[in-house]
Amino acid sequence: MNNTTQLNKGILLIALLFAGAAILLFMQSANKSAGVYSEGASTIRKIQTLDANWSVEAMKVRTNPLADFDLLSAFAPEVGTLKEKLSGLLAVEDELSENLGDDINAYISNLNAKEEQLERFKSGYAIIRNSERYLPLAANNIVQLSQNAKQYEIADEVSGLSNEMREYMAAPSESHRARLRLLLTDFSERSIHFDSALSDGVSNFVSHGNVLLDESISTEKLFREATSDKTREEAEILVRALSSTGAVADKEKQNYLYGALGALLASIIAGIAMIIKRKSADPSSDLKRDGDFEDGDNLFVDHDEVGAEVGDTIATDKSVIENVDIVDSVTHYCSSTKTSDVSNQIFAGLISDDLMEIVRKIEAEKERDADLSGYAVDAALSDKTEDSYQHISRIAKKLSSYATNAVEENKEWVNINDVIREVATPESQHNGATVRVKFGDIPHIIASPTELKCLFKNLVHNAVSSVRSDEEQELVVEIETQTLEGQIAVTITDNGAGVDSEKRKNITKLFKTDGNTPLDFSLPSSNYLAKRYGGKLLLNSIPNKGTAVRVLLPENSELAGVAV
Amino acid sequence: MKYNLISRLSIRIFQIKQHLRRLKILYPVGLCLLGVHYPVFSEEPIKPIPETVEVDFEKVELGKRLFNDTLLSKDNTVSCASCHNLATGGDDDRPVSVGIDGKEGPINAPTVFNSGLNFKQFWDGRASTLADQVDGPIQNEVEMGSIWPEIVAKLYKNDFYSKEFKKIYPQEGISRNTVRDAIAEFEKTLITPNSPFDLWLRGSKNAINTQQKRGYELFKSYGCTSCHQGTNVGGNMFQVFGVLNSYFLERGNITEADMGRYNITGNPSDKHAFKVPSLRMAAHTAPYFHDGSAKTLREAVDVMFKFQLGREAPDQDKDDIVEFIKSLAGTYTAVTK
Ligand code: HEC
Ligand code: HEC
Repeated sequence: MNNTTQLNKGILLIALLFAGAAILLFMQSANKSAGVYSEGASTIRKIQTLDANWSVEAMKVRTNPLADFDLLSAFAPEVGTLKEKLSGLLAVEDELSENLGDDINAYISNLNAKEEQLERFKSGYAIIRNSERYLPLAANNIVQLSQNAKQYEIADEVSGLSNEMREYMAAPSESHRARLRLLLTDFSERSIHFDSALSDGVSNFVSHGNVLLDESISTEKLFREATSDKTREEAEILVRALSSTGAVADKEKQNYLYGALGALLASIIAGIAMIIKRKSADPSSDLKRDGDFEDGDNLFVDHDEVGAEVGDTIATDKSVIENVDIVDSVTHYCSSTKTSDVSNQIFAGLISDDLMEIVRKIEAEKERDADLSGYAVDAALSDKTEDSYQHISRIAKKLSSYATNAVEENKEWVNINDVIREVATPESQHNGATVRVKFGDIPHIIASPTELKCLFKNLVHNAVSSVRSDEEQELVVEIETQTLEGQIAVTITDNGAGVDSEKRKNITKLFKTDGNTPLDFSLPSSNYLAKRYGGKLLLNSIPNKGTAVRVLLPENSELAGVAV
Repeated sequence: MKYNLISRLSIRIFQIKQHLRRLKILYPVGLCLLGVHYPVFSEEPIKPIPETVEVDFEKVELGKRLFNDTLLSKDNTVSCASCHNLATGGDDDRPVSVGIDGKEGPINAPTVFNSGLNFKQFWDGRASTLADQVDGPIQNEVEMGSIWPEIVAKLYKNDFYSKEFKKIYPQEGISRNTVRDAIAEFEKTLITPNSPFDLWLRGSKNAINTQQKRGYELFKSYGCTSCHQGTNVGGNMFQVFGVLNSYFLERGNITEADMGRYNITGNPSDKHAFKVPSLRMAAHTAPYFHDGSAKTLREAVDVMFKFQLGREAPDQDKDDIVEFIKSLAGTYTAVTK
């Protein structure tokens, strides 16, 4: 008893001494502005977010001929303020290496370029959408006038031109533009001899045609440049460079002795913390009891709950049709992307799974409803909805075939231990968590390494990012690979705040819709991928104790990689 | 028990809708890559002016005083209000402005009402913010002809200002920065909400008359909204004056001011490009255009048809549009604590 108290006092004394040293160190480093780096990085992060939203707004405007430009115009000043701040940081010259300074300047001027491109895009697009609407009207007007005057060849000519302009607008090309320019000029020169109403009509038609010829290629180009990923990628690189340079510069500045003292101090404090916290830090083995796991699938499917809200939200035909269009474009989008993007594929699979589930349910319902044919039914509505179903089920099938076939990723023999090693190492830097890995002896399976990486990265990342149940607590994440009853089991356990069953409903919702924030597909994606390999995902969580996620994959290589 | 086919189907549609909503994250990307035009949006291209703004009342009071004070000009004869009279639409009702010593400027004074809602300031957009804008008239030789050190010195000698600035800006006191800030804060309050048209947008069906409703439909269908849209019915982009016919060839006598944004960027495609003006207060801001060449709203609308749309329209349609434009003007209420 007495001994331990004295020991504690000793430790306290040492801790105090080192605290004194720490204060000295702190005062030494206070006049070094390592803050420049972190501030620079966080400013760039903020710009990056605005930058992305800016592009999305441009896309919205670009796809909506009635959109106003207020919001699109509002980004420039916001980004401007941040750019100024960034330039201000640059002014602390000797703190930033010359290269980094140049890169930041280049970044800023590319943001300026983006602003100008969008400015010009706005001006161009405004008149394009105007002339695009007017051209057919102007053509009609000429047709009318020339038919009245029995000059049918003019009517024919303008109809031909109008059609060709439409084709041009659908896929503008330089050669087509040159040809149309000649035709328009010729038409306009000949029109001097027409009667005055007709000649006015032609000049109106030609003016709008020329606006379209002048503007569409360049405006489209501006749009593509302005919404490219360039500045966002630059930002990513700069943030990384700033963080690592910041760290290096810090080190250089610290004298070795101070460095050693600091490290010693840190280790002693960590030691004390470890003694005190040791017990509570271990993720509870309770979490891993087999019977307590819940099938991942149950978490994501709540189709039936939705019905409760239906009373006041009877969907109109229009909303269905609208959404059908959306799905259509996504399908196109997914299948038209040239790069074989695994995340697209996973996303498509996820959605098609969901759609299929609904389609199956609807079919069952319809069978039952066939018995209710005595009720009065709005035939028009049910025809329309029937059409929409057909459409949606076609789309679901298309998406699903895209997900499984479109991208033939090379499959190879993979050891999951390697995958875990690869994803766990970078994750262990996040959120101050300690990541421990226990590798079991597990067989290789045939799989796509990218997909497996995706599967486990999501889960490890979630665990590492989990909320601590109290601030002091050390967050520990354990990853264990083993074989369980002939299956490969990867269990990822954290000792974070966990989720109670009430909240679990909300987890589910998070993956569903929530108006504005981007949705988190990580858990559903992993669930989907596990199923794709013939396995499944299980989850167990105890409030204030933590969460365990277990992925079970069949050992049998015959089964591996089979599409669901 | 009473479920019939329709209600069961509705439930399913709703569910599908819920699920499809997820896809919306991607749809702008998808649509955009495909170049699909997506005509489902039903919102109006014009949005009402917000009824209030968040401001610092003390700065507003100070800014208001500065706005009306001739002290800011070289010979103490001209204030901002001389050219931007709040009682007559926020402008000076002249084709071009007159500053100190009766000198004429090169360009028409726009209204200061709702200028905070414009994306940039001046016809050529050379100032990005209201605060930046203030430097313009103050240092302009024909407008107020002052220099900042002179103004700061004059304000320091004035008891009221030296006390007020010390109170409101304890760190900086009187400086170019704080004078600009106070004026800009006051200008933010110069909004004109609750116009008949805005009331109509907000659901009050009889706030505008039938002619104005027709005018609005025509304004949209003729394509005026390509350029004049958003909260300020303009003020959010640049456009060449004379998109479809050359305005300047016809008018002749081209001045430097006629070059518009080209004076700022030097880019040939910016020749004769101007900020599309807000039409919010157009009912009260004759004469029109940067050169003050159109004496009436009706004349301005004629010019727009000819040079921006490249077409003619029946007189009746133009009259209706003029009536609609009149319904855009709301009322300014001085902001007090
Ligand atoms: C001599 C007359 C005159 C005086 C005095 C004057 N202005 Fe102006 N103001 C103008 C003219 C002319 C323009 C347009 C100039 C241009 O676009 O190149 C203008 C433009 C503006 C604009 C831009 C509006 C827009 O939508 O682009 C604002 C805001 C403004 N003035 C505020 C002020 C303030 C604040 C003061 C006092 C510090 C002031 N003005 C003094 C004549 C004047
Ligand atoms: C292609 C873009 C564009 C279109 C379309 C357009 N305008 Fe304009 N409008 C402008 C520009 C630019 C100016 C400023 C010209 C200048 O003063 O140099 C302007 C100025 C005006 C003015 C004068 C405002 C003032 O305070 O001086 C009125 C009124 C106006 N437009 C009404 C209309 C109407 C009505 C239509 C539809 C018939 C229309 N505009 C279509 C771009 C456009």
